[in-house]
Amino acid sequence: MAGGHGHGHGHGHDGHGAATPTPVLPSGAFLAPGNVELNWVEKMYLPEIVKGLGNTFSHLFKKTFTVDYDGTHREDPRKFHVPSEGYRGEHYLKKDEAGHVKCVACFMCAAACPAECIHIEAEAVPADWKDRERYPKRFEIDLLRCIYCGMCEEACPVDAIALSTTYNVVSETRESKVYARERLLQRGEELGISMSKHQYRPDGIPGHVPEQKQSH
Amino acid sequence: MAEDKKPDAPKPAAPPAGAPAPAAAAGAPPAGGPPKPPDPVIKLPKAPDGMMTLRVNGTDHFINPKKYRTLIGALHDLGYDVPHFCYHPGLEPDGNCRMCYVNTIDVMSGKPMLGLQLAKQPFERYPKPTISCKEPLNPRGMVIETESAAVLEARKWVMEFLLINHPLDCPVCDKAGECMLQNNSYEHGKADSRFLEAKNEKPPKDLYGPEQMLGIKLWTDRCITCTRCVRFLDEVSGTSELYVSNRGDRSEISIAPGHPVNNELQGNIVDICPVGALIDKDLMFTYRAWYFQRTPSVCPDCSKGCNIEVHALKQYVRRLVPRENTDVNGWWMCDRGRHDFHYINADQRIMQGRIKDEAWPVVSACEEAGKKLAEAAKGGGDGVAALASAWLTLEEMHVLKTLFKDTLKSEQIGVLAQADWQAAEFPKFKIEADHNPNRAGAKLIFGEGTEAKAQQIIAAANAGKLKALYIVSSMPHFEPSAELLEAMSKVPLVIVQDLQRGALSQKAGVVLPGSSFAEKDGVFVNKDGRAQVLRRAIDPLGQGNDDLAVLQRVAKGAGAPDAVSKLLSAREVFRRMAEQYPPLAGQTHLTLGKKGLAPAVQEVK
Amino acid sequence: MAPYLWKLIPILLVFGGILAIVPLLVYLERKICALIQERMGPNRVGLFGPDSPLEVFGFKMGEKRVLGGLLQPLADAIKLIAKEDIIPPQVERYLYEFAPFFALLPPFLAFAVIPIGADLQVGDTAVPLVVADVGVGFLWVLAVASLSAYGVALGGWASNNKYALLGGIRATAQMISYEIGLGMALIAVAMQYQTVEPVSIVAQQVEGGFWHWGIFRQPLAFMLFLICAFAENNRLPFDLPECEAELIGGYHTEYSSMKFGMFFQGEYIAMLTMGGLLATFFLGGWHYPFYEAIREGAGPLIATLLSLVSFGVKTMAFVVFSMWVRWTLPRFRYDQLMRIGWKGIIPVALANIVLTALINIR
Repeated sequence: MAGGHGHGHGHGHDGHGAATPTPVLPSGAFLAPGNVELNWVEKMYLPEIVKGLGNTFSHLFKKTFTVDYDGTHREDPRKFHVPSEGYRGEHYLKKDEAGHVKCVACFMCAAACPAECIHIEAEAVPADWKDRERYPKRFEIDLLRCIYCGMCEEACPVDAIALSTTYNVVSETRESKVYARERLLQRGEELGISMSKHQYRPDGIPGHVPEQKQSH
Repeated sequence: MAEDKKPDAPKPAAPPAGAPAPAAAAGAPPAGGPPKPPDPVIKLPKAPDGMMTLRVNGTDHFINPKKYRTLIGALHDLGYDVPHFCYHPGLEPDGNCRMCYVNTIDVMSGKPMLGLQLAKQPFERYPKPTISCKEPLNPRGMVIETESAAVLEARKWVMEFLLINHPLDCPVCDKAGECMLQNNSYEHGKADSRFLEAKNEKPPKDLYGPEQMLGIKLWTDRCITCTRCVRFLDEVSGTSELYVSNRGDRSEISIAPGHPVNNELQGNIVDICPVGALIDKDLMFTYRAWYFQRTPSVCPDCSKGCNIEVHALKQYVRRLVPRENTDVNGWWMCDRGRHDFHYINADQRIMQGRIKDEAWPVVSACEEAGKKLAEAAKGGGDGVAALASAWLTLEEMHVLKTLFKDTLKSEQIGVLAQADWQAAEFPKFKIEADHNPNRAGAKLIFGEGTEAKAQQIIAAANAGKLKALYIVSSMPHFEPSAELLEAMSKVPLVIVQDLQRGALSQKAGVVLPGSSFAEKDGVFVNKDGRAQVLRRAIDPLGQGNDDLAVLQRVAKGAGAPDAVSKLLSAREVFRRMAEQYPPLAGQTHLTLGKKGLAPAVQEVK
Repeated sequence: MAPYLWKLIPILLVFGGILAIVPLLVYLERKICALIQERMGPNRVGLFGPDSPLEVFGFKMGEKRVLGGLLQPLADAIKLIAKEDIIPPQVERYLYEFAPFFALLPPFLAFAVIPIGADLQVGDTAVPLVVADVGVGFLWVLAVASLSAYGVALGGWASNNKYALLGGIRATAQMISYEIGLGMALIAVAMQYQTVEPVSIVAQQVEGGFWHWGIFRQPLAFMLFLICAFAENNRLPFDLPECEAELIGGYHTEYSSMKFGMFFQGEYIAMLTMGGLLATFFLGGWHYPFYEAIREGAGPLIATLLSLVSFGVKTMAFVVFSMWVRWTLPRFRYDQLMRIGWKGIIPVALANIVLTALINIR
């Protein structure tokens, strides 16, 4: 054991005492460009360890980065996390002026969805809906499958589905993570953003709302 | 080079434009007689006899000009993408949509014929791009460009004009995904619209049809007035209920006054409509075309055996559409067959095997039935009889026959068939009176006179001579005769394999699940002796057992050898049985192909 | 009262104290880790959670979120107990069940010889606050500490899982290697104080005063002991046995529920034990400045209670230091670990023994 110890020291002396500048390394080892061989004090790493400990110690007293995402300090805007406008959170469905769901069951969102989490069953509209022909009898989003990419919102031709900034979406059962049409509409109403002037089938001019349809 | 030659070349031939020059060219060139026609600049390779040379985009093809009515058919067959709307191979060309423009190059000068050059030569007839759907094939050779700049430009303008009054409501249009306007606009059109004025809004119309159909909805505003539907009703069904009213951009498809659309082929106008103007109300608003699983199959509703495609979604058959097979049905199918699929996913379907007096469905009902059959056959094979329907595939008939003849030693096999329905004849389509898809096949497998044999079996049962009767029905519209029902109550053991709960299954001791045509693989033989393959579109509802599997399990219960009782696929069963039936010898499902095999079973007929 | 009944007092103090502190250590570890990484750490469950109505000196404790989550260990414990106890089919059943207890028990036993406070004066009787003042002294500690390698090795072997087995083998090799260094460091200490009994060593440190603490008498032994203590406890930078990146969870890969919890607990108890040993041999045991004066002035009971606190603080200092080191230093490679053990620590410890012998020649 003592021999091993001595050998270790001797090895270090060889490295420093040799006339050639190239360090003597164990066979197979090499120094990467820019690296230097360490002397025996440096090899003990003790100063570096102390430096590292000092570094982490100084971090103990720094301000934490954690934002308050759960709404404990909702009243304090400095602490409460408000996501940016483009944040993609929980989905909601919008309603039109008549209070009907704006969705026309075109399946564009379902087609665009990379996670295949949107399930729609289309049907002809009730007789008194004069502005269109089809609407979703069932509209379900499986938020457990959803990856919140926002493709559905982008694909929607009538601006009926959108992603809100609601990010803390928790529930106790898997079933309740499958949002039905009613729940999505209700989310829109709760958020107060269910209405939009956008009109399905603009007559020639984008954004133009024809007179006869407005009167309805 | 062409520039140099041109001034010399046309001159001698300039005056006699028309008949004399071609006549001279066709005949042997007389020495020093009439002026010799100039040599063309473009020298096409000589085609074999009866063929012509067609140079498309620089590639030479030899085609048979008599095979094609116009240029576009040849171009499509050669694999060139020539967009079109009004052209349909099954209808007379009309040439109104102008989408199928191609460039024709002057063989004499070697230049594309553009601008307002006067036609001076027989070949120089084309001052502008020409519509290939109206262009007859010139047996002396043609030079065509389908992708030249002028053609692409022309297509772009055509698309823009077509879309001027189109509402562009693809998101809510049921045709989206299989719409020619969509596809061609994507491939050949412009991305934006310059049209700012108000579009023509035309009223939607309802076409109510025969009682089998809910009818068709006609969105006149989506229509591009290609008149495919008008021509179909003129030419194929011969009923001419639709016409084009008004002129210009106000022209629209109208229903002839006092002559509402009411014929049994009208479903086809939905299929051939290149846009979403005609939509079948049966499925309207509820589907998106790209979700369907499309399986080639054969319509089972009459002995014609129309080639169809089964469109299924999530194990539900949603619609049937015709599949092109010019030897059988052309491009069409009748509405009776088209809408006769609702029984497939109906609540009345038998899903599980049941044995009388057992409270719950029996998983091994098939094997139990086989055991009972074998027991009944112990005293002598002719005590057991089978009634097979003419809706079974060849493979199923073969397994049933082998089971009875070899294992149970019974010759008592009869064939039940659905009663005829009314035949209907149209100028270019015929609905057969025989309401069974595989009567010819039953003749092939069981031999002649089996329907009479069925009557004998029923009579024998009525006389109390039978110990067991196995009825393999799987016919959706079969109405058993009073004699049959009476006979069933006199036989100690009645096994019924059927699609739906009904008169037959009520009288049965053992009920086994049958399967519809959409659930099984197999071969039907139509009235012309054409063997056609149908393929499984949805999983069999009877716990995964289609008719063939049920029969094989029954055979297993009866103690039949592996060759019969092993759960082989229809493809394998067919491969093994084909040798036993000479007309089918050497055939497999693969060799029969998608379009079936021409009268393979002709001699049986 | 019979004298052996007085023994109940140190037993209860040691046993109860350890069991009470271990959950807090888990909390402490998570909190220190979080603060070093500038996070919150556990702050939901317990007295100082976000909804806490508590006010201390006008501060709403709920807003001082750094203190929140004190009951997190309780929640963890309930979770661990309530979790499904999955026993994989391929395990060696009895050893598998047995290993966690083996991991848990030795640290407790090692604590038996450590004096945790000054003698408790009850009437005329002086009750020594040590569970067992055995003559073999820290040899007992070394013997028992070796046993904890069994828990790890058996757990790894009985799991019948390659990762667990590798973890167990590594742990065994590592613990045996570093026990040599640990023992040699203690030999120097024993030579310095000329006894192996912890009680006697502490008494000498107390009598000699501050400058007679082992850390000043045997600084090299202190360093070696510190390093070996990390390795013995399988703490970073020497946590090769459970090295997540290579071995999933090491020897406890196949353990779940409270069986895992026992391994987990055993690790923290071992830390406490090592802290106690460190305090005993190098930091003057329960000794604290002005002990004699306080004993004279405030009475022996107060002095004894303060001595308990003093011992606790010293022990916890080691524990906190080891946590601090854990979240600072990266893990060694296995060959580096072995090289340090055999080619670094053992030669230096031998040299230290020789040096101590030379110094102490009388």
